[in-house]
Amino acid sequence: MATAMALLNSTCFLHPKRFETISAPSFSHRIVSVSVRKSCAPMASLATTQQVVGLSETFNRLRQQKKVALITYITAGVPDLSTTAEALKVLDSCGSDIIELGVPYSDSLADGPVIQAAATRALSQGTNYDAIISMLRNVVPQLSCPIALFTYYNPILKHGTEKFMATIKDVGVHGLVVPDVSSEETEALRKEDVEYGIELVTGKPVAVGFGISKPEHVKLVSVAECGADGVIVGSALVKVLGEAKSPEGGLKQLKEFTKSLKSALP
Amino acid sequence: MAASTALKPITSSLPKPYQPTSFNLSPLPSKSLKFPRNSSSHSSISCVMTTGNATGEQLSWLHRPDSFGRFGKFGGKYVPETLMYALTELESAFRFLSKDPQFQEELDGILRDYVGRESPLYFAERLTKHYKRDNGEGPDIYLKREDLNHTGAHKINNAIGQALLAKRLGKQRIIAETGAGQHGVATATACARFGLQCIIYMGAQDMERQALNVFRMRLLGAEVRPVHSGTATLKDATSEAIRDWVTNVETTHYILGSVAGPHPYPMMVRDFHAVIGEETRKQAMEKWGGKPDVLVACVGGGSNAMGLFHEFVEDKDVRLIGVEAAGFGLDSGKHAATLTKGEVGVLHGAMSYLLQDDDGQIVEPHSISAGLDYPGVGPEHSYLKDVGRAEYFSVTDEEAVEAFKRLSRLEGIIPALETSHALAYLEKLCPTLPDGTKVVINCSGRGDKDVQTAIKHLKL
Repeated sequence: MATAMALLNSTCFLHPKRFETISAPSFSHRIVSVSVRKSCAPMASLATTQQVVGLSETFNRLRQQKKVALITYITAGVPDLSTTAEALKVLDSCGSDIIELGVPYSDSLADGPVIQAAATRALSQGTNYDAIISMLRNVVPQLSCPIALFTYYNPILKHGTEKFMATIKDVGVHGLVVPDVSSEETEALRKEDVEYGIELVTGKPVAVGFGISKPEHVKLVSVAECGADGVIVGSALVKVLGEAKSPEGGLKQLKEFTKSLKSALP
Repeated sequence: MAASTALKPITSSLPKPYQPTSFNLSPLPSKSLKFPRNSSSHSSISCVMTTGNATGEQLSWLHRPDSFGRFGKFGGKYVPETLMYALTELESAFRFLSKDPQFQEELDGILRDYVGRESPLYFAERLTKHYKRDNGEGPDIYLKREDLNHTGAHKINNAIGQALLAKRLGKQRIIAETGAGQHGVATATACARFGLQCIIYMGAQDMERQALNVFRMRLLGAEVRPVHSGTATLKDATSEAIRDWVTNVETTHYILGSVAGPHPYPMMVRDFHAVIGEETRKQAMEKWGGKPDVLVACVGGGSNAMGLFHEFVEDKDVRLIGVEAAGFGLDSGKHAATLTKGEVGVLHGAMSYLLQDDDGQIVEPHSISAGLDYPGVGPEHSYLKDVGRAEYFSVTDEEAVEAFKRLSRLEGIIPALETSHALAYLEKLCPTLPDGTKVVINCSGRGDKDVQTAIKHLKL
């Protein structure tokens, strides 16, 4: 199954709904196949500014090594942007293969309560697009794994699709995940993505109702051989950072947690 | 079905059956009775946009929406991938059932015997007199009495239609969002009537200002879930309902309450409400042998307005006016006047005008009326505005409360605060209209639910 999904131009990964874990993850939930739309631009154009390779290439490499990718997600601005900057480095150094950074949004209809609350908190503290871009400009050169931005469509439209793509490309972002743009509506986005060499991930969210929040879950997922090339951990990480008594404490916990997740993967 | 389109004599008191042909999205054939029109064709004195700009093609039902669910550039399906199948399934079912005589008959019967259709077109004698100028000239004002429907608003038309559709789809679980609570009550009512499980999402702030409706929903057997996220109002309840649907799409049908959201909702909700306009055309012909000259309706998401307008969109001599909430005033930053102050963006699955800040975050709107307190608007309204077919204005909280009191005093009808916005616009509109202009206002709901709010604002 993994081979069938691992076509040259697409990769497949489990994208769990970012909801709270409800008891043990149950694989009786529907698992829908996911496809990453690769940009038509040759891979070389993606690695222009850094030595970092893009999303698809990362998956390809891991697949060849028979490894399962660890994809970590955090929301920007929780507890604050400077901690986010540090957290990105922690996630990178502790084994993330790909990092997803969520841009907080007022109406995050594809996110569960933990990430919704995180977004509201970040927004109320004044976290905005310009500040996030500025932070990324500093941090991305220090990362060794590719980073994808997770944002809803309206902020992209507001900033102007072309300008948005140019900016994030300039800052070193490799991929874009836009949860409220389905494959039917991607045309406008895809055009711009292709032009700027950003990989647009139009994931079909799977496994509704469970969040991966423990190393045991990670192990289960990768072992279950449901064609997963990667595993995404989101709310659990946001929770660690959001509920920590201090930013430093949060970062420390994040480090340990990420390492434990990574070690559970083949 | 064709036989039922024959006009009955004016003296008949039998309710007209629901016209199913609207589902085929083809305009009803215009009646051929030729009565002399006693109203001059409208010539607006004020300089507002006329209908002349829009072409016949732009207004044709074929493009409203097109096969991609778009009204021009507006509309679409901006939702997570997991919902795409459900939306496609919903659209197929809706198109099929629109032509299914059994479904039409069942819906027909329920609207007649349970909802109480057709709703009267009432000549508001004292309101009309109120707007007569010194020389005795002024428009004739009619109220389309959607407030007389079962549950007290137009919302029931759509709730019943969708509940029936859900049953046909084999869904046992219904979810809905609600602002003022009228759509929630309508949905809870429909679920009680059809024996479906009902969960209503309502902003915590809204629950406080519409306590009567919360109680009604629970009494009707629905579970009302408060939404605390974001601003705890309608937009957040909608987001929460969408989240629920994404999670439970196989067992659940989402009864969206307005002409917003992803395709096919704007089309489907409009078509379930189109009976309002269809009846109005027949009633107008009976009463004065012509068409209305001006249609006025309040606009939150836009469902009651589209229900009244849809029948007449291709009649360019009928002026369409939507009235939004200006809250504390358009410059106060505290309003819900999306079509006046908003910009184009994507909210809750559709591209449309919406109130947003410089970062593309959705702004918290304000209106004294919960039902108009939505930062978006149905994509079809955005389209009608852009092509110049419909005009949109706004009215403040204060003006709405004045109108609320005015109708109560002049006609003995207590309107919903939402409806009061449409009524308030008469203050600006009537002085510009020639003598005898026929104005029909959609009296979209009754105001019992608003008395607590009114008490705070009115010193009686």
